[in-house]
Amino acid sequence: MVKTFLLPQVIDDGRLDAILKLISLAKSYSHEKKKLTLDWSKTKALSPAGYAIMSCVFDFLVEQKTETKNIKMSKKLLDIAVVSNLKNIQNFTSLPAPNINNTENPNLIVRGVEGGINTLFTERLDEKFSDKISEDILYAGKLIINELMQNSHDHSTAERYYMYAGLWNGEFHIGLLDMGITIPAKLEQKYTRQNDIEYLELSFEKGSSTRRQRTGGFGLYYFFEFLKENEGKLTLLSRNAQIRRYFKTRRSQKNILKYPLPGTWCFARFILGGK
Amino acid sequence: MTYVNIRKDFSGDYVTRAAGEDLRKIILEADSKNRKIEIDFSGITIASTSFFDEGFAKLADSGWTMEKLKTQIILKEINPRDRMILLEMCNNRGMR
Repeated sequence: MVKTFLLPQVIDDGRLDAILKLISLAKSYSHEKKKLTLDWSKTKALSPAGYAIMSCVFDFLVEQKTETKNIKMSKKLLDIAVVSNLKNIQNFTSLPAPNINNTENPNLIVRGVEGGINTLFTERLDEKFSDKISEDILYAGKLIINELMQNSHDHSTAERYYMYAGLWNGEFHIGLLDMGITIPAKLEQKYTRQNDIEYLELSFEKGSSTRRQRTGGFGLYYFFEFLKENEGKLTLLSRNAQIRRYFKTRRSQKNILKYPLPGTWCFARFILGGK
Repeated sequence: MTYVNIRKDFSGDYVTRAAGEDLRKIILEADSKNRKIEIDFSGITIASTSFFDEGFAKLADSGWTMEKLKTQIILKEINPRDRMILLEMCNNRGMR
């Protein structure tokens, strides 16, 4: 049996239901030996987050050994490393190094990192964006990426993660995605909460940490403060929950995901020329 | 005087708690020898609460005060936002 999955017009961090459904399908189809076809006919572009999202999808499909075919990919999209790798996914019998999906152009940087901390990414942010965005936003971006990188390394024990930063529709987008141990799974070792939304909220509180040595728990709290100061927007997904916070309007959306994410994805956005 | 150049001596990691702990050990070692320490941040932005918390704020656990921090450590060319985070982390740890 073959299931055709229609990808969205723009792959970004806006509506993630479709992508999460794809990940869930890939898992079950691998188990049931069914085939998956990705239909790219509607897809016109990938936002900066979209590059990292599809890198995680690529890794997941390769790892799950889901038999995948791609149809109706535009030539323009094939210039993108991760799209090209997805097109040739049948050639990958084992997971390649994540840097295979690395991308860089004047307005974008995407890096796949295997283990450890990569300080070169934040240094590259300076070189790439210092003349395009304010020092405040650039600093906030670095603070965010440094905290996410450490969280991914220390807590999720993911062997790899993807970071991205880029300019998109008058905004600066930055974030980190991993497919490791989720925030709720880690926090429930130490704390008890009703559901995954509450675990995600807990992760932003000052002093919440599961670390036994080198205790701390300030990182996510401070990165929240910087988002507030710069009127940013934050989306955090982990396991069964999602939180979206819009600091300019002080709105917040929290919901249980229809399809779970076996990892943690964090996306931040700043409006350029706003505040 | 003990000199530390972050870019040179902490190349590859000036972000994590482990790196911050290494810096704190250098500071305490210098202090045990009654030496002042100059930490050079030129050409680098840290932007990591973990590094500052572990490297500086936890000196409070060894009895350091804000006054001692200011007299014993010279923060050379530190980014103003980094300085703000550093001081806030020290404050969080009860350093007065």
